[in-house]
Amino acid sequence: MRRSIPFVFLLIFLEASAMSFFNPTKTCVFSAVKAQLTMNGEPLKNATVIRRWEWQELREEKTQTDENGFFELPAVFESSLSRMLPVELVIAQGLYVVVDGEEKKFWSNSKREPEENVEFNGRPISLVCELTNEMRINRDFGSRMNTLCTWEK
Amino acid sequence: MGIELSPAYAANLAANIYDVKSAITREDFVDEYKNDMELSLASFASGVTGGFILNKPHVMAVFSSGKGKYKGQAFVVFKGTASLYDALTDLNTGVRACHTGTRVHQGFYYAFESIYQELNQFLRGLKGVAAVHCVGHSLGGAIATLAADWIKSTGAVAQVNLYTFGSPRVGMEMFAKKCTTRLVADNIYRVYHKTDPVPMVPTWPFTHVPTSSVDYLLFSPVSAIPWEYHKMKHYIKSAENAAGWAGMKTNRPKGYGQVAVERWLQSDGIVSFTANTLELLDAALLYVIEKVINATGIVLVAGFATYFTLLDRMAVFMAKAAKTTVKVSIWVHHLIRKMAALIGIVVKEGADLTVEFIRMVFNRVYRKIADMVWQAGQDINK
Repeated sequence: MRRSIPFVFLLIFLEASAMSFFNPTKTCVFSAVKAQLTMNGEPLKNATVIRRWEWQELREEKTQTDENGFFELPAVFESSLSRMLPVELVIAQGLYVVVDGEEKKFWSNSKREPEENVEFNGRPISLVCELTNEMRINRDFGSRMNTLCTWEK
Repeated sequence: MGIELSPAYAANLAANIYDVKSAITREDFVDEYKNDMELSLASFASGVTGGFILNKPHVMAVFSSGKGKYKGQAFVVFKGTASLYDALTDLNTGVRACHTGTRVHQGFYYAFESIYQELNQFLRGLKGVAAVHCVGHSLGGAIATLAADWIKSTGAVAQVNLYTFGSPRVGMEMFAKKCTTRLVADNIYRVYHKTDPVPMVPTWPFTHVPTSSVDYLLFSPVSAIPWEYHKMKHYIKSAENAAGWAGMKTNRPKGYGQVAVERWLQSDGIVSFTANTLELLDAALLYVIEKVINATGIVLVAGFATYFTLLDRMAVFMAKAAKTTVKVSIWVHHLIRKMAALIGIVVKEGADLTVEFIRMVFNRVYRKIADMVWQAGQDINK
């Protein structure tokens, strides 16, 4: 089956580009993250944190927590011509930490909007994650989030 | 009223099915529906009895028996896909006889065909199920329509419900009629926003299911982004704000009567492209096709090799009809003249309507309509 972009979509795309000052295919696939990880109330020091996301392809990057269990990751952007089609934008996002040699997921989300910081309705992702907590599904911000973390209300 | 999903549940399911694509969120989907479906992560991409997640190049789906509140029911849910979009705006597409015998869009036919064996296997494994809910958004809605039609035709389940959100048109009129009769119009929940362009394509002669009774039209504003109201977040919001299906139920907009269509075809006024013109053209085309078929017996799709596109068939059909009795051919001339006027071509009285000319007119009008639909112009919201 052909996968070319139809002519009519191209027209709309060009029109939209002319009207806007930004690249209409540019998409925030993961907003910047700040978090503190604890285990039984104690900071999880020097642990490997993995951030994964999947839009067009599955990608990941890693960082380490500091002495106080904190880590930070910058926002990530990607572009795809699929933004020119009327398809549902779906970006799977996940945060994992390696504990005793095993990966543990502590936050995931289905991002459905291209803008930065939409995960928390415009606020940056800033989490406190006690790893002994249960994962819970949260829909307060529109999309489905599954996490054991808490955040400032 | 039989067994049915609530509007909010169906809309959320049509949105959440997108999350099965990635391993990151797949378990979140399974977790969310653990009390409603017989799913587990182990059932991904395999034919496990009870329920499974299916991953094919152009189709992702969840087939599952219900449990808890949904015991005795089953779910067949399809994810939309980008890979079929170009087919929607291409009148050179073919039509194929679907699994229940009537003609549907070739792209949807192949998508459904790719999951047919697994669906058949799932259906055979179902025990004590009174109702199957087929759900999908966008192109997922089109495949859900074919699935619902086929499941009901097997007689394996007494009730099959179809819930679509922003679905394109799947088949030609005979498919729409038979599917509506088979499923019963009350079991079809076709939800669409007025400014969602996807349900407007493919244009004639494709027709929506259900053909009669009611559908669920939701009023929505015009947006700077043409397909803003195609997004599931707006469908979820509309569904959650509605007071059940009854609250969403809007009578299908009244079609144009014979007199209005005839008057439009005979008129000499300037023809401009608006949403109203598109509706009138749709009605006029069906009116002329029916007139030709009833008077002459010329058929639109039978008797051609499968490599003939829909555009070819329409052009041959109209050219043949133009050479029949005056009573019929005059309406073909009116229609082609009107369509030619839309693209700035004047057709003189008595002009010979060749297949090539008609084909060119259809092609250019169709392109212009596609442009207009996707630009979701201001007229649509009037």
